[in-house]
Amino acid sequence: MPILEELLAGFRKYEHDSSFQNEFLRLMEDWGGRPTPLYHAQNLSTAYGAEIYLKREDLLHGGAHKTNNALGQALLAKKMGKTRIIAETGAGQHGVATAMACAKVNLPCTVYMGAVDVARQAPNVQRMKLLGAEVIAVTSGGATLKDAINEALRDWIASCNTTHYLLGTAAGPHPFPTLVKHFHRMIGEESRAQCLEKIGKLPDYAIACVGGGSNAIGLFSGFSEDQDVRFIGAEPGGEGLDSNRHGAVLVKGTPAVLHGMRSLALQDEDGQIQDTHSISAGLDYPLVGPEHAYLRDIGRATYTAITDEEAVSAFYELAALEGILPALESAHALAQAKKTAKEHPDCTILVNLSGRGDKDLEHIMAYAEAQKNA
Amino acid sequence: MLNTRYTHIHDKVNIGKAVYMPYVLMGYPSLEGSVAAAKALIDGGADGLELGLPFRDPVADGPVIQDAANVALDNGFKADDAITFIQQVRAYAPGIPFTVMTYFNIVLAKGIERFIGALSKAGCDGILIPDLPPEHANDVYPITQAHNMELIFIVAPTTYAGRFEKIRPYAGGFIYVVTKMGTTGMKEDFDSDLKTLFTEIKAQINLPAIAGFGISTPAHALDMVKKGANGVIIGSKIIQLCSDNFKEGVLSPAPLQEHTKKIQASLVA
Repeated sequence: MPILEELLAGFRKYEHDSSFQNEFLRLMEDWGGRPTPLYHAQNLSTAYGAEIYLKREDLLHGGAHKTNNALGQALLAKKMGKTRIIAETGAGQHGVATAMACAKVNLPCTVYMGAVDVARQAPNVQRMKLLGAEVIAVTSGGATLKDAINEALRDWIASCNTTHYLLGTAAGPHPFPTLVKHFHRMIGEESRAQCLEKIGKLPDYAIACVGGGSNAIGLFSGFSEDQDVRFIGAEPGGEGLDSNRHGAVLVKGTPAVLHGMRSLALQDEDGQIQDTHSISAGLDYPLVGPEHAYLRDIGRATYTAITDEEAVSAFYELAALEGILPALESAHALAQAKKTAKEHPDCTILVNLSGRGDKDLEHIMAYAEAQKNA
Repeated sequence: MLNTRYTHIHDKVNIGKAVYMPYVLMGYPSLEGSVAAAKALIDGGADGLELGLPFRDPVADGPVIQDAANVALDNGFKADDAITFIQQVRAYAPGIPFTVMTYFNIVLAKGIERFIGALSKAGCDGILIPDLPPEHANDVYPITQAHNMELIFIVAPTTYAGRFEKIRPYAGGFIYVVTKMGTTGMKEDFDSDLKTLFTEIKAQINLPAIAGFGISTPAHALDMVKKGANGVIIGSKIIQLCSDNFKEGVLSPAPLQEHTKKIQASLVA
């Protein structure tokens, strides 16, 4: 707890500090490639029957939105005098972003990654190592993201005097959800300005995928005052909600306390957290950021489940119609856009294309092979 | 002030003696095996027991306890089995305090009122919830009070004066002192300024300061008491002894009894 108080104090000190903000924003432009474009996907719009705009976080340095938060927190840790960074990663995108940011700010970096994810996201493991990070494979539990977070928390309990835990999603103990949202809110703020400039109005829907919920909270936060913009979070429906092989926490979860937060989780009647399943490693998390639970409860956002099959179809459609390979995570948001378009023809939909799909190629080919043989 | 069996350890501490409260993980190596282990520790002279509830994500514990918890859960242990466990062991040892150690999510899922009520009725004296910070203690405290159960708190080398203020209104039974930064397990190097820590705790809170984390041998136990602890808790080593002495579904109690006697002998020395 004292370390969380120290982190909150550090964050409050630099949150509005203009030299810190300027350094962060300048690096995000010149090193990171911001602002990312807003793209009117006309072919997809025609196919889906609504006006679809993509926020191109896939074009950000590193290939996903994760870079925003990784650089922000790494700079903050440096300012706070920390000399080492640890992080957890699921799909490896946050691990890669953290390794990049640590190389940039010159801090040693250790990334905890579930052994299952190490195996299914091998290219990202290599990228992290090339960027100078140490990658530790976690074998406990289901050996995925939740277990990597457990192990990172254990490291931090022992090392917090020197080490910053660079948490990658809008979850965990306060102030992490606040911190992560802060560094991602540029996704929503840029989108809002770009919509007004390019479309001359705000979208009817803002859609993002939700695992822990970082890209979604970044997108939604830019429109928090715009009550006419409806928020939809697309959760991993895996093999379907009746299969127990999914990760739709906001659709099917119950109140829980874990990883230092009170939120929702998929759990049994004894409060034991259950293993999740998704084709997308980045959405494979049995809890969710607490602000999403709040947005759901007050009715500001709705959350839906997209199956593996629907996400994969959306992946192929974007590739074929627009020449863009989306991350499988982001493909969940695209699949939801297709459904929303069908329910509300001719509406305007903003989709956060949170990452690019290069990392998923092997996985998607294997899925196609398995479907063929099924 | 509640009337609980913690008076048993308070009486001993008040006359200058150190106490030993080993940790048993309920359901490990089996439900019957863990009951046998608890009885062996009692026979060896334990002054109280810490009773762990298996949880799949025990972030305050190291790999030894996590692996054991997974074994217990894979064997089918349910939170309600804790009630049966406590009833059985309570019948065997009417006078010593039992402290249940559980992560908050189990209590939340079972229903705070219902679960704490059942633990109390079974014969439990206190509950330690490592992931319940004092900022949220009031979610539980009125209920533990109503059921004559103490809420036990952890103090670590990073706990500063301001946090004692937050802990003090709720803390009962004893203070569980984390002797080094990290998780439970068998690390042998203790932070050198532990003497200062124990002095600080005693100045801040009028409860016995019991050292946990990283203690496994009589020498460690004695060292802790010399540095100012009013007693010790041993956990991971007990798990290991349970594992080493569980053959064909039966736990041999003798090694656990012997270990307990050796620890008690070291505390008297």
